[in-house]
Amino acid sequence: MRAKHARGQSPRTARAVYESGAGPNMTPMVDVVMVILIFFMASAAILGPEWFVKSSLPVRAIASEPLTDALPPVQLKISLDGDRIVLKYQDAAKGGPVSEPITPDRAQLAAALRTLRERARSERRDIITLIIPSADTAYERVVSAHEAAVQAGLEPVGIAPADLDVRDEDVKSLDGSEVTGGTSAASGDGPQASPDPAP
Amino acid sequence: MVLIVFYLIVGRLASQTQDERGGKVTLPTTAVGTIPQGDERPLIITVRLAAQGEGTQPGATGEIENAPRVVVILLDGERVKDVESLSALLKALNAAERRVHLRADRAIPYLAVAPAIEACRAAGVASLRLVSQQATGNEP
Repeated sequence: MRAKHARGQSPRTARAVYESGAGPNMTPMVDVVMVILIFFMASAAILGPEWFVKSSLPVRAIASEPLTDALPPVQLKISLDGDRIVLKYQDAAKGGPVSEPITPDRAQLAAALRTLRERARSERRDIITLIIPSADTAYERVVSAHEAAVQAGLEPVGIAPADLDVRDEDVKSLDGSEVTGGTSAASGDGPQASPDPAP
Repeated sequence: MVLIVFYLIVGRLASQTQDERGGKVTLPTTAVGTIPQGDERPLIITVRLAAQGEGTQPGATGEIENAPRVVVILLDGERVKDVESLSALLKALNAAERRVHLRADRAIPYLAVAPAIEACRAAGVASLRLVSQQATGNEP
Protein backbone atom coordinates (compact mmCIF):
# COMPACT_ATOMS: atom_id res chain seq x y z
CA MET A 1 0.00 0.00 0.00
CA ARG A 2 1.10 3.49 -0.79
CA ALA A 3 0.58 6.55 1.34
CA LYS A 4 -2.44 8.78 0.65
CA HIS A 5 -0.59 11.61 -0.96
CA ALA A 6 0.68 9.38 -3.63
CA ARG A 7 -2.03 10.70 -5.96
CA GLY A 8 0.11 13.64 -6.86
CA GLN A 9 -1.10 16.06 -4.17
CA SER A 10 1.45 17.64 -2.00
CA PRO A 11 1.33 16.79 1.71
CA ARG A 12 -0.78 19.18 3.86
CA THR A 13 2.05 20.77 5.73
CA ALA A 14 1.79 24.11 7.52
CA ARG A 15 3.83 25.66 4.80
CA ALA A 16 1.51 24.35 2.12
CA VAL A 17 -1.54 25.75 3.93
CA TYR A 18 0.14 29.10 4.31
CA GLU A 19 1.10 29.30 0.69
CA SER A 20 -2.37 28.34 -0.50
CA GLY A 21 -3.81 31.37 1.33
CA ALA A 22 -6.28 29.35 3.41
CA GLY A 23 -6.39 29.55 7.20
CA PRO A 24 -8.30 31.49 9.84
CA ASN A 25 -10.19 34.45 8.48
CA MET A 26 -8.80 37.36 10.40
CA THR A 27 -11.25 40.14 9.55
CA PRO A 28 -14.33 39.09 11.58
CA MET A 29 -12.09 37.98 14.43
CA VAL A 30 -10.49 41.42 14.62
CA ASP A 31 -13.98 43.00 14.52
CA VAL A 32 -15.14 40.96 17.48
CA VAL A 33 -11.97 41.54 19.43
CA MET A 34 -12.25 45.29 18.91
CA VAL A 35 -15.83 45.35 20.17
CA ILE A 36 -14.88 43.36 23.26
CA LEU A 37 -11.91 45.63 23.88
CA ILE A 38 -14.05 48.75 23.71
CA PHE A 39 -16.61 47.13 25.97
CA PHE A 40 -14.01 46.33 28.60
CA MET A 41 -12.58 49.82 28.42
CA ALA A 42 -16.04 51.33 28.90
CA SER A 43 -16.89 49.07 31.82
CA ALA A 44 -13.53 49.78 33.47
CA ALA A 45 -14.23 53.50 33.19
CA ILE A 46 -17.63 53.03 34.83
CA LEU A 47 -16.41 50.88 37.68
CA GLY A 48 -13.33 53.03 38.19
CA PRO A 49 -10.09 52.13 39.86
CA GLU A 50 -10.50 51.92 43.58
CA TRP A 51 -8.17 51.33 46.44
CA PHE A 52 -8.11 52.04 50.10
CA VAL A 53 -6.08 53.54 52.89
CA LYS A 54 -5.79 51.40 55.95
CA SER A 55 -6.99 52.99 59.10
CA SER A 56 -6.46 51.69 62.59
CA LEU A 57 -9.28 52.26 64.95
CA PRO A 58 -8.33 53.41 68.40
CA VAL A 59 -8.94 50.12 70.12
CA ARG A 60 -7.41 50.17 73.55
CA ALA A 61 -5.40 47.02 73.03
CA ILE A 62 -3.41 48.67 70.28
CA ALA A 63 -2.69 51.92 72.06
CA SER A 64 -1.48 50.24 75.22
CA GLU A 65 0.51 47.52 73.53
CA PRO A 66 3.60 47.02 75.64
CA LEU A 67 6.78 47.89 73.83
CA THR A 68 9.55 46.05 75.55
CA ASP A 69 12.83 47.72 74.81
CA ALA A 70 11.71 50.56 72.61
CA LEU A 71 10.86 53.96 73.93
CA PRO A 72 7.17 54.62 74.37
CA PRO A 73 5.44 55.68 71.20
CA VAL A 74 4.59 59.26 70.55
CA GLN A 75 1.03 60.26 70.15
CA LEU A 76 0.24 62.84 67.60
CA LYS A 77 -3.17 64.29 67.16
CA ILE A 78 -4.29 65.91 63.95
CA SER A 79 -7.24 68.06 64.78
CA LEU A 80 -9.48 69.06 61.90
CA ASP A 81 -12.05 71.75 62.25
CA GLY A 82 -13.45 73.13 59.07
CA ASP A 83 -10.45 74.59 57.29
CA ARG A 84 -8.19 74.56 60.30
CA ILE A 85 -5.67 71.83 60.88
CA VAL A 86 -3.83 71.71 64.19
CA LEU A 87 -1.15 69.23 65.19
CA LYS A 88 -1.02 68.50 68.90
CA TYR A 89 1.71 66.65 70.70
CA GLN A 90 3.77 66.82 73.84
CA ASP A 91 7.22 68.22 73.47
CA ALA A 92 9.54 68.24 76.42
CA ALA A 93 11.97 70.50 74.60
CA LYS A 94 9.29 73.14 74.44
CA GLY A 95 8.03 72.27 77.86
CA GLY A 96 4.59 70.83 77.43
CA PRO A 97 1.91 70.35 74.88
CA VAL A 98 2.43 71.91 71.50
CA SER A 99 -0.33 73.03 69.19
CA GLU A 100 0.98 73.63 65.73
CA PRO A 101 -1.48 75.13 63.27
CA ILE A 102 -0.98 74.10 59.67
CA THR A 103 -2.30 75.89 56.66
CA PRO A 104 -5.09 73.81 55.13
CA ASP A 105 -2.92 72.43 52.40
CA ARG A 106 -2.09 68.82 51.88
CA ALA A 107 1.53 69.44 50.96
CA GLN A 108 2.09 71.57 54.05
CA LEU A 109 0.53 68.98 56.28
CA ALA A 110 2.57 66.20 54.72
CA ALA A 111 5.77 68.23 55.18
CA ALA A 112 5.00 68.93 58.82
CA LEU A 113 4.20 65.30 59.46
CA ARG A 114 7.36 64.19 57.74
CA THR A 115 9.42 66.46 59.97
CA LEU A 116 7.83 64.95 63.03
CA ARG A 117 8.41 61.47 61.76
CA GLU A 118 12.09 62.13 61.06
CA ARG A 119 12.42 63.40 64.58
CA ALA A 120 10.72 60.39 66.07
CA ARG A 121 12.79 58.08 63.94
CA SER A 122 16.01 59.64 65.15
CA GLU A 123 14.82 58.79 68.64
CA ARG A 124 13.83 55.29 67.52
CA ARG A 125 10.22 55.80 68.37
CA ASP A 126 6.99 55.12 66.64
CA ILE A 127 4.30 57.70 66.24
CA ILE A 128 0.74 56.75 66.83
CA THR A 129 -1.34 59.22 64.92
CA LEU A 130 -4.91 60.01 65.67
CA ILE A 131 -7.09 62.15 63.47
CA ILE A 132 -9.71 64.02 65.40
CA PRO A 133 -12.17 65.66 63.04
CA SER A 134 -14.86 67.99 64.23
CA ALA A 135 -18.42 66.97 63.54
CA ASP A 136 -18.91 69.15 60.49
CA THR A 137 -15.65 68.31 58.74
CA ALA A 138 -16.32 66.77 55.36
CA TYR A 139 -15.32 63.12 55.12
CA GLU A 140 -13.12 64.03 52.18
CA ARG A 141 -10.91 66.17 54.41
CA VAL A 142 -10.58 63.36 56.90
CA VAL A 143 -9.40 61.00 54.20
CA SER A 144 -7.11 63.70 52.85
CA ALA A 145 -5.46 64.16 56.25
CA HIS A 146 -5.19 60.40 56.55
CA GLU A 147 -3.54 60.28 53.16
CA ALA A 148 -1.04 62.95 54.16
CA ALA A 149 -0.13 60.94 57.24
CA VAL A 150 0.35 57.79 55.20
CA GLN A 151 2.41 59.73 52.68
CA ALA A 152 4.62 60.99 55.48
CA GLY A 153 5.23 57.40 56.52
CA LEU A 154 3.28 57.57 59.74
CA GLU A 155 1.68 54.36 60.78
CA PRO A 156 -0.59 53.44 62.41
CA VAL A 157 -3.06 56.19 61.75
CA GLY A 158 -6.35 56.13 63.55
CA ILE A 159 -9.55 58.05 63.27
CA ALA A 160 -11.25 59.09 66.44
CA PRO A 161 -15.00 59.02 66.69
CA ALA A 162 -16.37 62.53 66.64
CA ASP A 163 -17.28 62.55 70.29
CA LEU A 164 -14.09 60.99 71.55
CA ASP A 165 -12.52 63.29 74.05
CA VAL A 166 -8.79 62.78 74.00
CA ARG A 167 -7.33 65.09 76.56
CA ASP A 168 -3.96 66.64 76.08
CA GLU A 169 -2.62 64.81 79.12
CA ASP A 170 -3.23 61.53 77.38
CA VAL A 171 -0.76 62.46 74.72
CA LYS A 172 2.54 60.92 75.50
CA SER A 173 5.57 63.10 75.57
CA LEU A 174 7.77 63.62 72.57
CA ASP A 175 10.47 63.51 75.13
CA GLY A 176 13.40 64.38 72.88
CA SER A 177 16.25 65.92 74.79
CA GLU A 178 18.55 66.35 71.80
CA VAL A 179 16.00 67.71 69.43
CA THR A 180 17.53 70.34 67.23
CA GLY A 181 14.39 72.34 66.86
CA GLY A 182 13.42 70.89 63.53
CA THR A 183 9.79 71.71 63.95
CA SER A 184 9.01 75.34 63.89
CA ALA A 185 6.99 76.70 66.74
CA ALA A 186 3.37 77.58 66.56
CA SER A 187 4.17 80.86 64.93
CA GLY A 188 2.69 80.12 61.57
CA ASP A 189 5.77 80.27 59.35
CA GLY A 190 5.03 76.71 58.54
CA PRO A 191 7.17 73.69 59.20
CA GLN A 192 10.67 73.38 57.92
CA ALA A 193 12.21 70.21 56.75
CA SER A 194 15.60 70.92 58.27
CA PRO A 195 16.71 72.95 61.24
CA ASP A 196 17.87 76.28 59.93
CA PRO A 197 19.53 78.40 62.59
CA ALA A 198 18.63 82.01 62.27
CA PRO A 199 21.58 84.35 61.55
CA MET B 1 -25.56 36.29 19.31
CA VAL B 2 -22.67 35.28 21.51
CA LEU B 3 -21.86 38.92 22.05
CA ILE B 4 -25.40 39.74 23.14
CA VAL B 5 -25.38 36.96 25.71
CA PHE B 6 -21.96 38.09 26.84
CA TYR B 7 -23.13 41.68 27.30
CA LEU B 8 -26.21 40.56 29.20
CA ILE B 9 -24.13 38.54 31.64
CA VAL B 10 -21.51 41.24 32.19
CA GLY B 11 -24.16 43.92 32.53
CA ARG B 12 -25.93 41.96 35.19
CA LEU B 13 -22.69 41.29 37.03
CA ALA B 14 -21.80 44.96 36.94
CA SER B 15 -25.14 46.07 38.35
CA GLN B 16 -24.90 43.39 41.00
CA THR B 17 -21.51 44.69 42.08
CA GLN B 18 -22.94 48.18 42.16
CA ASP B 19 -25.80 47.03 44.39
CA GLU B 20 -23.47 45.19 46.69
CA ARG B 21 -21.40 48.28 47.08
CA GLY B 22 -24.52 50.11 48.12
CA GLY B 23 -25.33 52.27 45.16
CA LYS B 24 -23.51 55.22 43.77
CA VAL B 25 -21.05 56.85 46.09
CA THR B 26 -18.72 59.69 45.20
CA LEU B 27 -15.59 58.46 46.88
CA PRO B 28 -12.81 60.72 48.05
CA THR B 29 -9.68 60.73 45.93
CA THR B 30 -6.28 59.79 47.27
CA ALA B 31 -2.83 59.54 45.76
CA VAL B 32 -1.76 56.71 48.04
CA GLY B 33 -3.48 53.47 48.75
CA THR B 34 -3.43 49.73 48.58
CA ILE B 35 -5.16 47.78 45.88
CA PRO B 36 -7.39 45.09 47.36
CA GLN B 37 -6.03 41.61 46.87
CA GLY B 38 -7.09 38.11 47.66
CA ASP B 39 -10.45 36.56 47.07
CA GLU B 40 -11.81 36.87 50.57
CA ARG B 41 -14.89 39.03 50.30
CA PRO B 42 -14.77 42.05 52.54
CA LEU B 43 -17.69 43.45 54.47
CA ILE B 44 -18.68 46.67 52.81
CA ILE B 45 -20.16 49.46 54.84
CA THR B 46 -21.56 52.23 52.72
CA VAL B 47 -22.42 55.66 54.01
CA ARG B 48 -24.08 57.77 51.38
CA LEU B 49 -26.58 60.50 50.86
CA ALA B 50 -30.11 59.27 50.47
CA ALA B 51 -31.39 59.22 46.92
CA GLN B 52 -34.24 61.49 45.97
CA GLY B 53 -37.24 60.55 48.07
CA GLU B 54 -35.48 57.61 49.65
CA GLY B 55 -35.11 59.06 53.09
CA THR B 56 -38.48 60.74 53.20
CA GLN B 57 -40.50 57.59 52.83
CA PRO B 58 -42.44 56.62 55.91
CA GLY B 59 -40.47 54.21 58.00
CA ALA B 60 -37.21 55.22 56.40
CA THR B 61 -34.26 53.81 58.21
CA GLY B 62 -30.67 54.67 58.80
CA GLU B 63 -31.30 58.37 59.05
CA ILE B 64 -28.99 60.55 60.96
CA GLU B 65 -30.26 63.67 62.56
CA ASN B 66 -28.53 67.01 62.32
CA ALA B 67 -27.01 66.12 58.98
CA PRO B 68 -27.82 68.59 56.24
CA ARG B 69 -29.20 65.79 54.13
CA VAL B 70 -30.42 62.38 55.00
CA VAL B 71 -27.67 59.84 55.09
CA VAL B 72 -28.17 56.11 54.79
CA ILE B 73 -25.89 53.39 56.05
CA LEU B 74 -25.73 50.07 54.22
CA LEU B 75 -23.96 46.86 55.06
CA ASP B 76 -23.21 44.74 52.02
CA GLY B 77 -25.81 46.64 50.07
CA GLU B 78 -28.61 46.28 52.60
CA ARG B 79 -29.83 49.17 54.61
CA VAL B 80 -29.42 48.90 58.32
CA LYS B 81 -31.93 50.35 60.70
CA ASP B 82 -29.62 52.25 62.95
CA VAL B 83 -26.11 52.27 64.26
CA GLU B 84 -26.90 49.79 67.03
CA SER B 85 -28.13 47.22 64.56
CA LEU B 86 -25.07 47.86 62.39
CA SER B 87 -22.89 47.10 65.37
CA ALA B 88 -24.90 43.98 66.19
CA LEU B 89 -24.74 42.82 62.58
CA LEU B 90 -21.01 43.37 62.44
CA LYS B 91 -20.58 41.31 65.58
CA ALA B 92 -22.82 38.57 64.18
CA LEU B 93 -20.81 38.51 60.96
CA ASN B 94 -17.59 38.20 62.89
CA ALA B 95 -16.30 41.47 61.52
CA ALA B 96 -13.28 41.50 63.80
CA GLU B 97 -11.83 38.61 61.82
CA ARG B 98 -12.74 39.98 58.43
CA ARG B 99 -11.77 42.83 56.23
CA VAL B 100 -14.08 45.77 56.53
CA HIS B 101 -14.28 48.38 53.80
CA LEU B 102 -15.83 51.74 54.43
CA ARG B 103 -17.24 53.47 51.41
CA ALA B 104 -18.38 56.91 52.41
CA ASP B 105 -19.37 59.82 50.24
CA ARG B 106 -16.77 62.55 50.16
CA ALA B 107 -19.25 65.32 50.88
CA ILE B 108 -20.75 63.77 53.98
CA PRO B 109 -19.87 65.53 57.22
CA TYR B 110 -17.80 63.46 59.59
CA LEU B 111 -20.65 63.52 62.06
CA ALA B 112 -22.54 61.12 59.81
CA VAL B 113 -19.61 58.79 59.19
CA ALA B 114 -18.45 58.63 62.80
CA PRO B 115 -21.29 56.38 64.01
CA ALA B 116 -20.36 53.77 61.41
CA ILE B 117 -16.72 53.95 62.50
CA GLU B 118 -17.80 53.75 66.12
CA ALA B 119 -19.92 50.68 65.33
CA CYS B 120 -16.87 49.00 63.81
CA ARG B 121 -14.86 49.82 66.87
CA ALA B 122 -17.58 48.43 69.10
CA ALA B 123 -17.59 45.25 67.04
CA GLY B 124 -13.87 44.85 67.62
CA VAL B 125 -12.66 45.82 64.16
CA ALA B 126 -9.10 47.01 64.62
CA SER B 127 -8.40 47.93 61.04
CA LEU B 128 -10.81 49.67 58.77
CA ARG B 129 -10.18 50.27 55.10
CA LEU B 130 -11.29 53.60 53.78
CA VAL B 131 -12.08 53.03 50.14
CA SER B 132 -11.12 55.83 47.82
CA GLN B 133 -10.71 56.51 44.16
CA GLN B 134 -7.24 56.52 42.71
CA ALA B 135 -6.07 60.00 41.88
CA THR B 136 -5.43 60.31 38.17
CA GLY B 137 -2.51 62.66 38.58
CA ASN B 138 -4.22 65.67 37.03
CA GLU B 139 -5.29 66.89 40.41
CA PRO B 140 -2.97 68.70 42.75
